[in-house]
Amino acid sequence: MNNDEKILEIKNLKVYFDTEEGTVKALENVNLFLKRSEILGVIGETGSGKSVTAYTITRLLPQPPGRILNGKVLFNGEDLLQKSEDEMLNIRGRQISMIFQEPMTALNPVFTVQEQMTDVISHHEKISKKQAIPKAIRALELVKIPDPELVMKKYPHELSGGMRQRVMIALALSCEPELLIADEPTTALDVTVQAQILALILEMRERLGLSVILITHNFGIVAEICDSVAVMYAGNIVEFSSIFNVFENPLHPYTDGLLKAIPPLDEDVENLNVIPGVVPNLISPPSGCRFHPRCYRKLDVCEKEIPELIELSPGHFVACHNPLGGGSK
Amino acid sequence: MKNLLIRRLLLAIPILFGVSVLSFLLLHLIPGDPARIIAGIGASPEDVEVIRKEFNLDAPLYVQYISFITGLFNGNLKSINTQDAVIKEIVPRFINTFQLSLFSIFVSSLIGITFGIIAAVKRNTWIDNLVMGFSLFGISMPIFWLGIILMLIFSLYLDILPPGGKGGLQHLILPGITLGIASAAIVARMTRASMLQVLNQDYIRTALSTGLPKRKVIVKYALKNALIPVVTVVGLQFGYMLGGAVLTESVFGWPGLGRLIVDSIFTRDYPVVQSGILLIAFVFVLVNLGVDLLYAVLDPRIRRR
Repeated sequence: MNNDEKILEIKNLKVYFDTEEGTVKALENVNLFLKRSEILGVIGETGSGKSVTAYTITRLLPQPPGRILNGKVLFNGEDLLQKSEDEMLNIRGRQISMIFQEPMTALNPVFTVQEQMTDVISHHEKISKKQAIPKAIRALELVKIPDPELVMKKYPHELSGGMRQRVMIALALSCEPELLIADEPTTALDVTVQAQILALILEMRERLGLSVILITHNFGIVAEICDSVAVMYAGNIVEFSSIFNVFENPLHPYTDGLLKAIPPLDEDVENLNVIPGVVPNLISPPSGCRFHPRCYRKLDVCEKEIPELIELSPGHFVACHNPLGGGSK
Repeated sequence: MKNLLIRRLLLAIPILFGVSVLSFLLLHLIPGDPARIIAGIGASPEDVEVIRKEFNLDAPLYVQYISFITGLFNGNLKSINTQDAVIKEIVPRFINTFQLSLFSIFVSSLIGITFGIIAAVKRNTWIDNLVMGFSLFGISMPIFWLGIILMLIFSLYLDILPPGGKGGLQHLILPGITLGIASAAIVARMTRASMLQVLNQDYIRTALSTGLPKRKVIVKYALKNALIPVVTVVGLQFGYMLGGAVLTESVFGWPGLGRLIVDSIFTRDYPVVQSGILLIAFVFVLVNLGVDLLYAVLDPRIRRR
C-alpha cells in the first residue's frame, strides 16, 4: 500500500443552508485531503463549517435545509456525493464511522449497550445479533473497557462520561472502518479523561491503521495527536498543511492569530492576544476574503477578490493575498 | 422494578380510600336532607321517614360509610329501582364498557401512533398537513355526530354492521371505531410532537451514522423514546373510556357503565351512582398504575427511582 495514498479528498465543496432569514453560505470552497492512517485536525471557531464538512462526508447533512451545490468527496477514489442512500448504508459505520461531542446524549438512553452494538454489527456483518455479541465484547475490550460483559448489559445512564465515550468509540470501530470522523470527541469531558480518549484514538490508529478526521477548536489537541491540520474560517479552508508547517511557519494571518491567542504557560501575561472582531454572518459574508474585516495584513485586493487555496511551498496550502513569511505573492 | 411496583401499589391505597370517602359523601354533600333527596320531590313526610330508616341515615357518618363499603361487597347495598344488589347491576355493565374501551383504545393507538409517526417523519409536507388536518377534524367533531354518520353509512346504506345493541363482535365495531377515532386524533398529535423532538436528538444522529437504515432507526430507536409521553395520553384516554363513554353508549344503545350511571342519576338511584363513581375512580387509579409501570418498561432511567 502506498503510504501517500489519499483515503479522502474533498474538492471544491460548496454547501448552503436555506433558512427563513436567508441562505447561509456555510461552506464556500472547501478543499482538503487525508492520507491513509493519518490524523487530520480540522480546526476553527463555532460556525466555521467544521461539522458541516463532516456531515457532508457521511451524507448525514439534513437536506433540506442543507444544499450541496458543488464539489466532490472522494473516498478511496469514489465520489460519495454520487452514491445512493442504499450504498451509503453500507459505507456508514462500516467504512466511515463517526463519534460525537456529547457522550451523554449520543447513545440511546432506552437501549442497553449490547442492544445498540449488536444491532450495528449484525446489520453490517449480516450475522445474527447473538453471533454479534462476541464481536461487540471484543470491540469493548479494544477500547480498554474493564469488564466488557458487564458493560454490555448496562444502559448509558449507568456509565460515566468517559466510559460512554469509550462505548461510543467501540460502537464506531466495531465494524473496523477505515476512516473515523471525530466531531469534538473530548470537548465535554474532564481533562484527564480527554487525554485518555486522545491516547485511545492514537492507539487505534497504530493498531488498526485507522485514518482520522478530528474536528476541534482546541489547538492543543491538534498539536498533541494530529499529523496535518486544516484551519477553517467562515466556510473556507484558509490554511492546510502538516502540523509542523502550521505551528512553526503559519502563513495565514488567521492561523497566526489563533496561535498567538494560546496563552503561554511559562510567562505571566496581563492580556490574552485575541483576534479583534467576531465571526461574520454567513448569510451576507464579507466580500473578497471573508477574513479581511478582522485582518491586520489587509490589502485593497482582499476586499475584492476571493483568495484561492494555493500551494505556496511544497505541501503547505494557504488562501491569502498577503500571507506571512513569504511576503506578498 | 419490583420496588417500584410495591411503592406504587402502596401509594394507591390512600388514594382509593380518599375516593371511596368522597363518593360516599356525595349524597351528604348535596345541600338538603339526604332522605328527602332520595325520596324525591313531592314525597310525603312519612315516606321520607321510611327512607331515613331504611338507609340508616340517622347513624353517624362513619357507621354509614362502613355499611356502604361492606354492603357493596356482601350485596346488602341494593339499587333503589331494581332492588338487586348494586354490585350485580354494575359489574356486567362495567364488563361491557371494558370491552368497548379495550377495542377503542386499540383502534386509537394503532391509528394514532401510526399516523403520528408518518406525520413527524414527513414533517411540513402535504402528508403531514393531511394527517394533522384529519386530526384537527377528529378532535373538533362531536362524537355523537360521528357515531350517527358511521351508523348511516355502515348500517343504513351499506347494511354490513348492526346499528346498535349488544351482541357479537360486529356490534362492537361501530361504537369502538367512533370512540377510537376521536381519541386517535389526540394520540396522533402527541405522537407527532414527541417524535419530532426525539428525531432531533443526538442519539438518532448516532444511529444514522452507524449505517442502520432510516426505517429501523425510526421504528426502533426513535419510537421507544417517543412513546413515553404517548403512553400517558393513551392511559388517560383509556381511563376516560372506562369511566363510561356516555355519548357513544347512548348513540349505539351499548349497555355500558356510563349510561347506567346517567340513568341512575335521573332516577335518583344514589347507591348505584355512588358505587359506579367508586368503581370508575378505582379503575382510573389502576390504569394510571399500569401507565407508571409501562414507563418503567420503556425507560430504564425510571426503573431505578
